[in-house]
Amino acid sequence: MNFKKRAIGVALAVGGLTIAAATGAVATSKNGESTASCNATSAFATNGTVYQHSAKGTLSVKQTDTDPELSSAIKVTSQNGNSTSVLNKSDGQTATWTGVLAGQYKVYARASASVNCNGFAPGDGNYNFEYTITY
Amino acid sequence: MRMSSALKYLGTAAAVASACMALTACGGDKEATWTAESPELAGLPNAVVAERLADPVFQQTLKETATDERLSMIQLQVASTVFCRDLYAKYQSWLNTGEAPTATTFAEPDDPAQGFADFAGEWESMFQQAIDSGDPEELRTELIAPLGCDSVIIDPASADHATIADKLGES
Repeated sequence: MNFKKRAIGVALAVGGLTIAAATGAVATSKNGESTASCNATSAFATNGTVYQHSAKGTLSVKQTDTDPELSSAIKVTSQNGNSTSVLNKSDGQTATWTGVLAGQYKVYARASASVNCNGFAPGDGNYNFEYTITY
Repeated sequence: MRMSSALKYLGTAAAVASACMALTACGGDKEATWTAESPELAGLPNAVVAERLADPVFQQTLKETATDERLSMIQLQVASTVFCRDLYAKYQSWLNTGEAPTATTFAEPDDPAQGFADFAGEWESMFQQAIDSGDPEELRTELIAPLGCDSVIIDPASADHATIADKLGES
């Protein structure tokens, strides 16, 4: 009886691993940060880090911290210039895209609404954007 | 004498600034000079090159991209647009005839930039798997996947500029 249970357990575990491998369901998370513009009409900025999304599935970017604190417009862009939809997120919130094609992607951000991060200096200045990407 | 030194300093600073601006204009914004006739884009269909370079969304993305990655991005943008339109047509034909389409390959520039071949190979393989499944639904879901063919305008001459995702449904 014990042997039978153990055999079933092993079979289930192997089955689970096989399914995970077949679907690419094992997600990877990495932290990153970049300097982005506090002006909502400026160009999106990236730190240039490339993430290998190895199987079609969900891709998410959590805004973990910003300094000064503000809401970001976030998108992910492919090597051919195609981008996801732009999603606005605050600290602690996650931008999620489902069914994303496999590929190499970069994270882009800028302020979702213009904020003066620059005091009396000209222009709106920049902020520090920290994130966790899961792919 | 002091005034004369100051003027000389200002003159030098202006000359340096002017030289820097000229260098930036020559080497910093290469995409501004790319056209359908650019030698780096030879081998790709001229009409699609011109269409993609004129797209304001793509222009903005190029500006947000490191200078040394822009040529590769333009080549891949053009080739993947052609690839997606071809696959969309083949998907429609598959629905109408019931016959699975033949393979689609990437149009290739005469001098592919670094990374072009890898990207093309991966896309050809992914979409071929969908065709090989024998189920057109597999190809449809692949065509509307974000960061794939979803945002490709099917017919740039159309009034509505409908994308592949517009026609085949969101994923």
